[in-house]
Amino acid sequence: MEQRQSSTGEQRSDLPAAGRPGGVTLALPKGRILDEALPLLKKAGIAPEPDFHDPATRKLRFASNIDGLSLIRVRAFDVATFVAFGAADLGIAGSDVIAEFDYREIYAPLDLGIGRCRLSLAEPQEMAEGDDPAGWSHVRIATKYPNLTRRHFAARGVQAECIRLSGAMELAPTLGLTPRIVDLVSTGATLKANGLKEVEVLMDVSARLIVNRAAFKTRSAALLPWIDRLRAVIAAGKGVVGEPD
Amino acid sequence: MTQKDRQAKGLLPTGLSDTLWPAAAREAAASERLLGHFARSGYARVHPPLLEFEEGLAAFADGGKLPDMFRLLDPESRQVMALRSDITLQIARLAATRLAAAARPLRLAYAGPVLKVRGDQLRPARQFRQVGIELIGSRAHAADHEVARLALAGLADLGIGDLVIDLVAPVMLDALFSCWELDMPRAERLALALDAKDAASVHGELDDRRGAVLEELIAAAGPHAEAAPRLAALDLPAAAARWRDRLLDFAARLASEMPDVEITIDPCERRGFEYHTGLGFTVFSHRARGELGRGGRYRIRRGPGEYEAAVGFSAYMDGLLPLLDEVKEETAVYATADALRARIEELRRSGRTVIEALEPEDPDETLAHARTLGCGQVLDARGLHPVPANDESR
Repeated sequence: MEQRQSSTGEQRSDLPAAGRPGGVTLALPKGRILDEALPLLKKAGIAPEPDFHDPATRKLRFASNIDGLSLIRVRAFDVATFVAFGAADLGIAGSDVIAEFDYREIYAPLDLGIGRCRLSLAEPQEMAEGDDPAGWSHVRIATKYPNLTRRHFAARGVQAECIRLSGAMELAPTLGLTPRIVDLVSTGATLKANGLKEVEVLMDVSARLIVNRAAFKTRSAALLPWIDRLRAVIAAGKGVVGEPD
Repeated sequence: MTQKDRQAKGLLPTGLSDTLWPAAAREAAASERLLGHFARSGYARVHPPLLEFEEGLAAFADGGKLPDMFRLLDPESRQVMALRSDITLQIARLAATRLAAAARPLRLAYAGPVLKVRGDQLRPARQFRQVGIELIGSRAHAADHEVARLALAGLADLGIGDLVIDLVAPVMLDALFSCWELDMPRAERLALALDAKDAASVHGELDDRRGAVLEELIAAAGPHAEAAPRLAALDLPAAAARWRDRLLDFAARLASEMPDVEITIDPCERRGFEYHTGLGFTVFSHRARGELGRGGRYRIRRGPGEYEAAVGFSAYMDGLLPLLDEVKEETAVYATADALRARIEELRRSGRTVIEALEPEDPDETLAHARTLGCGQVLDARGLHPVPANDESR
């Protein structure tokens, strides 16, 4: 109940954690991962209030069936930030987002096994035919993941000049913005439709449960049961513990 | 807007800011109070300079690296100088040179501003005030205790309550890995998984028996009362078991000495303890979201292959400031131009703040000035009078 009341007075980052005694905030990503995450949460006994599913709602913060557990729904890239700064205690974020921000204040104790895809480098079909990645010293890449991309190529001795885009990456090579892109690939159909070829996988991606470091240490009694419960759900899904459906 | 316009308005570079009153006074008072607290346990205050030769500083850092430092060229000596980003390094230099012959154990305290080339994501500030202590030249367990106890008591003395201390032993993991003779790539993958507390990935890198040990180490993290028995029950190789026992002993002693402080143990924490060579600790408070300070055992490089044991703690004042209570001062006094000099000085001697009018004023002006200056009383030729509450101010 407390959580519902406090949704009117929004928490600021400089507000002491004591302002939400015992309450736990879970940050969920909009889009792709959310559809797969909700059934998982349901198995763990967490159901958002009905408003959460209402596309017309202007609410950003939701209560759940659990007293003291509130949910926020934010952009996938923002989940890691909310959790790193302690604005949310727990979150669900793709390993791509976690690697891009590389926050030291986040633990990622659980691979939820959902939202699976890969982060890949792609270039135009005809370019790929005559290309030798071993000879690269500098590449220009359009991506949502400039940090991760730069790090990845720097480790190989290649300087990656990244142009940050928020979407429609596939347009970059065709319109001459950059010859190459780094983007999430699940089936590869979008790449193909745009005449691009996947030439290298930077990382395999899946969604993780993430936890704020300070909260993990100072409020473990409130957080650990949720981590354990989700771990049990994942284990059950893998057939380690049989669960009649 | 041009650069010139912005500068005319006082724009400062990213991560730098002016601290005004009352925050500046509060920060200075808190920093002095901490140093006073440390001094009562024999920690002598030292003031190393803001700038020094880069090479000179690097020579005493274990690892030899000087991360995050502003560097500039000394026109005098034509050598590169570094602006300190961590006073601990300067204390190491002092201990290894000027104070090399001083009696051990050597107890030093310091406070001062440090500068970093860039702030991190959580704390974008590039300049802040570091306050800390170093206890140099003792390998005794009691030295670790003294530093942790002083850190906690010092923060409590500032009025910061609900303290939590998280105890770590990154060396225990190093010992474990060297006993298991893991190859480098595997050890690195394992380290990443450990930093994420990702038990499943950790297990995937190891055989069942070893995987189970690390999984239990990850799972054991938590409040002292629950973590201690789990850790104690673990079957570890002798070298790792010694560190485990030392960690548990550390926790048990702190628990008995500081009953008001919550103790947690995290046997798998390594982040931020890369240069530590023994037990480490981080201090949190339930009232704040970030950490308040950290400390632990490390070593000072005195020469090639020659090291000295040290334990230290440091806190950054910007993190503590929001937690400090408003200093409750007696209200200041506004003295009119005709107030008696002797009476003004008498009030000041008794500890009151007295702000003097510079010109004769009519009574309304006097009251208005007193209010703007936050004075609760007015002193005129007749004596002290309260400043009535201003109805318009509501």
